[in-house]
Amino acid sequence: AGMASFLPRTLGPLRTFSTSPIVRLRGPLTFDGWYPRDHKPGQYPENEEERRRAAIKYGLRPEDYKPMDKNDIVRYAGDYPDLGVITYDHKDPYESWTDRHHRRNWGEMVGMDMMNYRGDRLTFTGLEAEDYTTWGSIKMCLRVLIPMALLAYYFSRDDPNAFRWKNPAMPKQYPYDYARAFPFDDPRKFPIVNYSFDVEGQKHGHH
Amino acid sequence: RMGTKLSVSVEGGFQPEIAPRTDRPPTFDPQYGFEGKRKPREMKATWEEMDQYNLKPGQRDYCAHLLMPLMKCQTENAPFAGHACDGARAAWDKCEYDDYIMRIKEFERERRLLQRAARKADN
Repeated sequence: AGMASFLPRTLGPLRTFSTSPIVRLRGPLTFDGWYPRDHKPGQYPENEEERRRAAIKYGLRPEDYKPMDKNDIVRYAGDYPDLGVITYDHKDPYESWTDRHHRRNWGEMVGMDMMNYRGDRLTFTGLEAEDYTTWGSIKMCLRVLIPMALLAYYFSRDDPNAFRWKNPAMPKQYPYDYARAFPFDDPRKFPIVNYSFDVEGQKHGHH
Repeated sequence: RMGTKLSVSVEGGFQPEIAPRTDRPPTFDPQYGFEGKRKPREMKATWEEMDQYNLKPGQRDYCAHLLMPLMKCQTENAPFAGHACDGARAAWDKCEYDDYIMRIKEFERERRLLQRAARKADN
């Protein structure tokens, strides 16, 4: 944030490309957004008169009115005010609000981050759940994909001493070697001798 | 012992050298350790009979002589076999179950012989 539009070269060599005139010929990198006609914020107030009018429009006192920073490329919103951090949880639960569910009075100014700080968030601050920045989105994907990958790895291991939850048993015994005879040979050419656990001369204990 | 599903796997994980391999037959001499001679398993069904019933190779094991009467009973009573073939089915299931128990015993024998071999190698 804070890219001075009139002195690009003062920001050092790293920004010379992205602030150069040839790249800025493309125009602004955001658009104004699809607002209902009367809800769209106005232009950034340049002089005192415009500031008074904007403050009254938004129901604020002129001395309290502070628009969003013009150089903030993420949050700049024309003349929409910057109210600071106003959360649901910070408001008095016992005050008789007009809208008790959202802890807001009728006509109260709604800040730009209302959806981040509303009352039905899962976390205490409500910010981590909707962190849709680049790194935040990557973290959201990875926290699902990495456990998936680990489970897939552990469940698909081929080595014979891998973890298995199965009854330990030797392979099934057949009278002929079918695998060796496959596909065209006669299995009767490859008989196998298998032994049971009965011993000759010894009476078996079970029935 | 029927409670060996996880413990044997864990044991095999920590001591892979003496864990029995379940993808190949046992490695020790079949008669080793027995006080008499072990009886060989007999195949009670003939090859021609099994061909007649078109048994798959996996079905041509030491219980085939019970599977064929079961199939005959099923074809006779089809399509309402119901409980008419319960006796034959139970006989075949018992034979398969005994075969499975024998497999587990072979595994256990293999495991104990491997542990014994390791102990003797240490001493």
